Amino acid sequence: ELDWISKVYVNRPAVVRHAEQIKKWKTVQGNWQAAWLLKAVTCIDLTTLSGDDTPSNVQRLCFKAKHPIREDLLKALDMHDKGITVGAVCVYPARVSDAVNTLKAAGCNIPVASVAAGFPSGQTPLETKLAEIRLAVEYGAREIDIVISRSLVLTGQWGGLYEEIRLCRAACGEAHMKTILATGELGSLANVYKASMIAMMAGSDFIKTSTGKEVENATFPVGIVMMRAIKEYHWQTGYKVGFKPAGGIRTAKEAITWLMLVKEELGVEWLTPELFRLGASSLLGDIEQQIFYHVTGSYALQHELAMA
Amino acid sequence: PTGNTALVLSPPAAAPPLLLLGELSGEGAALPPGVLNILAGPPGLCQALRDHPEVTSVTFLGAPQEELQALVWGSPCRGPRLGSPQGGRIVVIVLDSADLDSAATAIAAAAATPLTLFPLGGCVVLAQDTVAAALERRLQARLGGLRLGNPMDPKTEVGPLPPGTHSPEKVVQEAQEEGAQVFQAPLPLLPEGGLRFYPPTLISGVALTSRCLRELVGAPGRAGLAGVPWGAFQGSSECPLPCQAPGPLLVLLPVRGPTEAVAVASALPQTVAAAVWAQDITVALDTADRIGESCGIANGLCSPPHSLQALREFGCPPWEQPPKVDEPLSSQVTLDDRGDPELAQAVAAARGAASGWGRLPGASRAQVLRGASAALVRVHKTPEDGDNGDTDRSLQRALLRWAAHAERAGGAVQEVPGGRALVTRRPLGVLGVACGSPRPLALELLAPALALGNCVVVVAPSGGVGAAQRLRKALVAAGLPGGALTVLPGSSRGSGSRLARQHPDGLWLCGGDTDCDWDSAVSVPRVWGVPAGLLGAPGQDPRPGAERELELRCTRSHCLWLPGGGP
Repeated sequence: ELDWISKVYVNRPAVVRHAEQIKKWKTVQGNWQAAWLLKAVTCIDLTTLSGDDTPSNVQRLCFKAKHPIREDLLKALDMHDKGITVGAVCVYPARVSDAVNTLKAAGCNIPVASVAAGFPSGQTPLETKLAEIRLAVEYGAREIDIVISRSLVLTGQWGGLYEEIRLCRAACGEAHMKTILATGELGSLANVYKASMIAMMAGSDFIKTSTGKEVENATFPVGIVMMRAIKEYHWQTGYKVGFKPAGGIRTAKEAITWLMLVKEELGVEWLTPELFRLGASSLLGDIEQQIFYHVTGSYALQHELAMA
Repeated sequence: PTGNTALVLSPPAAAPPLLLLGELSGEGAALPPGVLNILAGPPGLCQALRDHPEVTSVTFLGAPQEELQALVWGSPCRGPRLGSPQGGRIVVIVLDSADLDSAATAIAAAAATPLTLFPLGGCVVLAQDTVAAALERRLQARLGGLRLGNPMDPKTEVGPLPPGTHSPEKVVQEAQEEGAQVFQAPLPLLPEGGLRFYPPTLISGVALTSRCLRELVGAPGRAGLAGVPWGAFQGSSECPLPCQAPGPLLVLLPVRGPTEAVAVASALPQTVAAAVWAQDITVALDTADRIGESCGIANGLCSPPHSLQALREFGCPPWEQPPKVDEPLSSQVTLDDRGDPELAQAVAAARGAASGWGRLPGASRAQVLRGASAALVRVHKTPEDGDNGDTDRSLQRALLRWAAHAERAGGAVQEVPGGRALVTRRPLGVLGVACGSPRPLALELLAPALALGNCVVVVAPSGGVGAAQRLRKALVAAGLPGGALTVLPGSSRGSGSRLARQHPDGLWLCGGDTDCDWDSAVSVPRVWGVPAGLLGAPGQDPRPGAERELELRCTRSHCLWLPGGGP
């Protein structure tokens, strides 16, 4: 439905102003804050995407994923039996089997998400992208984070973009697909909106802001625009597509602000790991610190909290 | 804030919060004693206030202005200057190239929290057909998300109805009976304490004649503390007047295009500001420009502090300084009920010429004035005129001075982080001038009015008509369009009322015995009693402030706010 995107208008100053307003929202305190932080934890896609990933650090990541918050802290909050784990573990395709094996051995059902389709730049031929996706699914990944070709967006080839994402969706098969829009490289908020729409029309289960490797990653204006696109798509078709901001979210306060923003723009139904994820690596550490502070009244030393 | 003292009159029922304010301002806020004074008393105190020589300007709060003013004031142009009504509605025009989400967010936010400097009389949204349904959906989502609650809680976005105001129930019910669709957000669990809440409401599908559009629907006026010393009378809840209905109430009307939007917006009474949402810059600027209200905002609704800052800098209402009126208050003028075909024709001709003359660039008008100045020398004088050479020369000088002024006239740009305000002064349109005897007609007054683009209809007693006709001949010879200046004979008593009844855009009353009755004056947006000594003695240059005063009196301000750049 190309005519859906032909009349897209986004007023950048108004969106930026709205985003500035949001930053000034007073954050929740006390028990509510702990509750929201735990909610944020269940929505995290614990990620490691470095050149020097080896089976050992992936293993450590998976253990942290199963027990993101220290047991005694959870007991103090009376949440130790609720099965608090992160939403997923996100790694490169070559490390997928390591992650899957570790989690199986630990008896944990967290899905493993793999990045694919020429992550992070997307500048590879379509055949290799599709092959990468198929292989990742074969290795056991239950979620695939694909990357779009920004050049198609910047040259306005919306039909081509739709086709590319549709083929990736077909290659994913049963796996759940997140489409990374790499919003920092799309040029304008209107392009972000249009790309979001195309991605949703082509069958994405989630749209994700960025790879984490761009200069500008997940910012509030971009998040607002994408969420408005999701809302519009839901109004038009009834499908709920999930949203994942990724990259640059490091503090617990930011995480809570993102949750509040989702509640404001999309509604409470989106506040679940099925429809909202936070792509982060060091965020978990900060959240654990804040929960430690809430329970004990002081901040933890480095050795007191397990490394991810 | 601008360094004036205030005296607040209120009925005893509404006094306690004001008295508390007075107390607090003494202790914590450290206002020096005497700056803010609160008096609780009966309406009769207003008369005393008016007659007091030290009071310079008066503002009414909390109730529709006209009825109260008529009750209290005898003449619209004598005595302390009346502040303009503080309530007013905001019109938002959303065109097809608008960012609907941002527009809906801004509209809902503005409706929920009344802006302090534009106390809301409600918000009317004019949406282009193609986007009306989508905008309505978004507005409903936003209104549903507004948080009602205790006003002391910082998270609340919508507070309770102010005490003493009526609930908008009736207005909404009437709209529903007329067949409109009313969307109301469900009220959540609300705090106790005798606070009345009304849910955010969106009314769509109403006729233009519906009550919710005719009356001001929104928060009552707030105190305008800036400006000249004022006294304020706050309407009581016992007043049998059509009350404003506070609460976040939005009315949504579909329009077919920008032209229709401008027409509908102009037909809505008491509009104080207009916002245009469109990403197509040409359409946005064009529409914002054609709206007559004093403040146009492109793609934004949270700009007033900046734009009003700009207005304040460049001396626009309501912060104008009034002249010192030294004429005594005259008694009520009796109405003269004869029909006035001659005057009506003159005003109609002036209106016809107004758009052409007003839109000419300043330089063309300057040329006409200069030509007239030269031609004045050549027109023959007849003995009946009773003029002397001095008056002529000062008139010539005035024409030349105002010609130079017309060339320079323009606007100003005020830049702040977040955007810029373009402030211009536009001609009023048709200006009626009523001149009295025995003072000779001060023709120099016509020079600024014409130079700044107005068309003038003058009613003068027979002694002064001759000189005015000569001036007119000279101007027409120099190229003034027909109808731009008309001079009619008429007695000074009642000429003000006669002119006012023809609904000009402005009315000047020169001379001690010219006056205007209240009923006629209410229909004229700007009435001014020209003080005697404004132009100085004949042959001398006028006082330093006089030129600025005249400029302000001939024109109205138009402010266009353009957002852009970082916040």
